[in-house]
Amino acid sequence: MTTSNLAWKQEVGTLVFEKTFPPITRHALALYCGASGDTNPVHVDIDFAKTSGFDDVFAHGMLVMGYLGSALEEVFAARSISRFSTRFSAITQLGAAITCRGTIASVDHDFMTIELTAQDQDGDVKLKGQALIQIQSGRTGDE
Amino acid sequence: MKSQELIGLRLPSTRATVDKGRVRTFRRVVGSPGSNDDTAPLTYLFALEMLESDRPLAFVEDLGVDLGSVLHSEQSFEYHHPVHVGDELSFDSEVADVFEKKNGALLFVIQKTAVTRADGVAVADLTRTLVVRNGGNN
Repeated sequence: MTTSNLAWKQEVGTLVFEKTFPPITRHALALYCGASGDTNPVHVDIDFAKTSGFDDVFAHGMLVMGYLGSALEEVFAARSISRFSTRFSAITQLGAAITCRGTIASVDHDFMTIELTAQDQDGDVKLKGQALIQIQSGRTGDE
Repeated sequence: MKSQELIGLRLPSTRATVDKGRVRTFRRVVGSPGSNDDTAPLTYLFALEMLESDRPLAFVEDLGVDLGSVLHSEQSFEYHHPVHVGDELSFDSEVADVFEKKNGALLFVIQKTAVTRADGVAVADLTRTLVVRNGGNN
């Protein structure tokens, strides 16, 4: 897995992270099935997937969102992240090597919005989303 | 059950304790740093509810829908308080909306889940949108 942590400025358009994950294998899907409790057989059982009209099993959208979350957490402290949302634009096929990118979409005094994408090796967008980051450490409480 | 009748349906509350080993395993699978970290990763709450629920896709099954026809369309997390190993959480979910698109070829189901710590602290709000292809019940 490769990570490029760029020295970045808090301004619109800045790429804050770019991280590529290893190609998704059947084994990775089996592990995610167990680790996440998402036991929908369409992701791990090729016979079931074919009966449902798919050529093969395909990745859980939440596995790819998990990758995006991991990339986000490498740059921002979890407690500074107020919101994290994604739309699953296309099915992620076996063998996909997902690259997650985060780009600053807006900055104001307290918050920064990061545009998120997850693309496969062909550049097909699988997930698009946003994260809202609290710039000031305004959060208090019993941590 | 008819799809519109689902709106407002509350699912049985799910309780879960955040377990260190499970968090570590999840982190490894999603390529997350901080494997010794005691904080739950960003998407872990979605998983934890499914791990602990008796029937994680109850309302989809009650519609008589084939699981292979269900796709996840959107997901959001609003975080109010960090989640740590050892936290005891409850997940309270309801079906917030159900609607059709493309003349009924696609059925959308929006589920909202409030996650609360045992001492009453609001931890997070999750919203999931599922889409069922072809109405799903052939």
